[in-house]
Amino acid sequence: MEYFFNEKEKQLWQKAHDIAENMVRPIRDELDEKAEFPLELIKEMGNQGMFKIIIPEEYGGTGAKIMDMCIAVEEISRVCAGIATAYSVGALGSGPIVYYASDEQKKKYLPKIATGEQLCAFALTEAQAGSDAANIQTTARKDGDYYILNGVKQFISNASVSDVYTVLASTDKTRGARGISAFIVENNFPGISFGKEEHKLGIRASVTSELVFEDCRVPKENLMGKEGFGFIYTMRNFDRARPGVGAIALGIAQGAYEDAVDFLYKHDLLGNQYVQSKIADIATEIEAARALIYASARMIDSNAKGISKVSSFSKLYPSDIAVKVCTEAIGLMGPYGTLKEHYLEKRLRDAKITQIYEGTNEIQRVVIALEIIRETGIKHQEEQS
Amino acid sequence: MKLNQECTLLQNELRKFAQQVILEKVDELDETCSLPFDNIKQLAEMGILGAIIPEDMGGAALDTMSSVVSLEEISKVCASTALIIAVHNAFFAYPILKFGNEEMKKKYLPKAALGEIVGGFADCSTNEVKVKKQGNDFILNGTNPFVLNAQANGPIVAFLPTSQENEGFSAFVLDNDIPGIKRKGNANIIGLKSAGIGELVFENCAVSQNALISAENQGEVILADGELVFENCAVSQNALISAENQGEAILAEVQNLGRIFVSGIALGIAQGAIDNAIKYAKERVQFEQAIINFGMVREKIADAITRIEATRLLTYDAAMKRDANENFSQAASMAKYYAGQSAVEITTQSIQIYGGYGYMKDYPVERYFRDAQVINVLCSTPVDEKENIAKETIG
Repeated sequence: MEYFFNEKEKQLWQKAHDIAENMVRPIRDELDEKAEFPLELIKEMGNQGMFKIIIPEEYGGTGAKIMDMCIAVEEISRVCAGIATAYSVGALGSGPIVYYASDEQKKKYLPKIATGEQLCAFALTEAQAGSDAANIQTTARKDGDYYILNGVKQFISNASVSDVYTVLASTDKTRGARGISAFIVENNFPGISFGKEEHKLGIRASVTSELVFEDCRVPKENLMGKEGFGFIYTMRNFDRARPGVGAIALGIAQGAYEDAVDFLYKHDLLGNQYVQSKIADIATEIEAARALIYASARMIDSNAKGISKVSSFSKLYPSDIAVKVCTEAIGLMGPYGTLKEHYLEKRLRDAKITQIYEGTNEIQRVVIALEIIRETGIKHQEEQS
Repeated sequence: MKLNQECTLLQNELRKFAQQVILEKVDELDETCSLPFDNIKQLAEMGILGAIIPEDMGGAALDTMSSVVSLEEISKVCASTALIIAVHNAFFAYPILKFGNEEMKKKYLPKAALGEIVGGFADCSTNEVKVKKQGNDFILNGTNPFVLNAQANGPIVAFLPTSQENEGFSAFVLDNDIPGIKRKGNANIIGLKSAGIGELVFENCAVSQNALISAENQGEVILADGELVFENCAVSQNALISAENQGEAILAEVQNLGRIFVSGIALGIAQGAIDNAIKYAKERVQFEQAIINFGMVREKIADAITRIEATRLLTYDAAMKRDANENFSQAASMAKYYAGQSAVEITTQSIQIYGGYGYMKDYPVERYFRDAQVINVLCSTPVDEKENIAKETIG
């Protein structure tokens, strides 16, 4: 379908496409097998300006448009979602800095993130704070010119390879979610270490580990925005990031679809109407997911208000579709589809995470439902008055 | 559904064995793609390797129902172990029992019943394997990438093309000492990594007509696990089961039984996954309460249990039809189609209940998810099952 990309978007797509085909495709299998982070590739993507798209122009970037992120991520994920994840984590980590940090903080951190000189990650989740993100136990205690951080962050993507983190910690435990603050933490601050490296089903090119703070001294000027606003920043950051997760899922679905159709064509199986019926459904669903993601991204980029529901749409549907497309494709290909050489099995393993990370699809449904309830409540109040 | 006493006793025995013995090493075996030889040995002592083999040949002569219930219990914990047993019985022992000559039965079945040999299965009727007749021998050339129980190192029942003109094929028993057969491990499969899904290579391999099960050209399409490579492999007529080119009819029968067994495995995978997820949901606290209290979790459980019960009814119905000597082809396809789809869906949702933990190898549910994907396409794909159901319905 024609989505009327502007000139800049077309160039970005082409660049992402070239990176995906020439640099990602040759190494994706080895990285998946060895569960290895593609540091060299990520740095090269930085050289080619791929991190500039997540940073505003005044800090060395090209605009921080969600649409740009979606275009880039979809194309890379079409070839390898592990590498697409490793790449896109930067946007999740830098998002709060772009929107909520002071001008001084932005000047200090964003230009280096824009060039890829520094990689950025996001640290929220803890063992007892998954879906219940406000339940984080990591504390930040004020001590003179410093905050002292203590706690263990879990399942942190790119933890061990990043230079800068947006970290959420409680500055006032009595206030729950409203006692959570956001900090910019550098990996060379004393008291930081990396715990257990996770052994994952998929996206194995993206490293995931614990991020441990033991009396970690963070200068007070690294507090982002105001104390107690960290949770709100986090939720707004997720609102902006979800179309990008949808785009990772979309890339997986698109890649799976392309590989499956090629296989079925070569094996002369597309004449079968059972197969045609499935393929037609898959193709339609993928296009619907794409339209949803692009529309959500454009809406967010227009600075529209009330984006939570739409943003959840753009993660929920594409991720469910990605798992479905991979499963159906394996079903159509038969036993061959379960073998590594046909690549569907990796795509399915990768796809499964898109239903989970950055808020499980159940949490997305809660976000959507609560918004519907709120909207309906307002409508009924208006009718009554 | 009420099982008879014999079946219930067996069910309890295997449930205990699965929990007490199989569970201990299941993750390690999956991680290292190793076959569960210890499980197989102990299950042989319990008679399960000879499930479908008559008592006078040392088998347990279980009815289909009892076999299915056994597979279900084993696969709740380890689907790979269950698949090895299902293949050994339905795809290896059964065609020899039903279509083989006396000599062949004597040669293989008593050993198979005791688990001294664990037989495999290769469908080469539609792919690259070429068969040339040379006197009393068949010369094999080519590769089969998907052989079930390939790494179990027992003989293999193979369906091979023996008539180029009418695409006829024949069933053979290939001894593992035939010169020219090589087996390779295949870790490149998404799931059932301990099931010995491997590669079999034939180089100048001769198979005699004695290995032919039934007559020539009685076969049809199949699945398999692993790879079989034939290079100038000569198979003598002695290896022929039944007569030449009788493969199609044999294969159809084998597949029908196989579908019921595979449904039993899919059922066990689905039940095992949701059981684990329920246990986790009772322990996992979020928002100051166990997540089992949340409607979105309970909805998944209700959905899974409903589908599992429907799968169980379909599967047991097919087994009972077979035990009653009724036509069970449609019932078997309905069971397999529904069981495969349900296993895929339920394991996918079970990971969701675990959230991020479900994606990690520290928890068992991702293994069930991977295993379900393979089970869903074994025997035949969902597309083929639907066509069979339609065909049987329309007549």
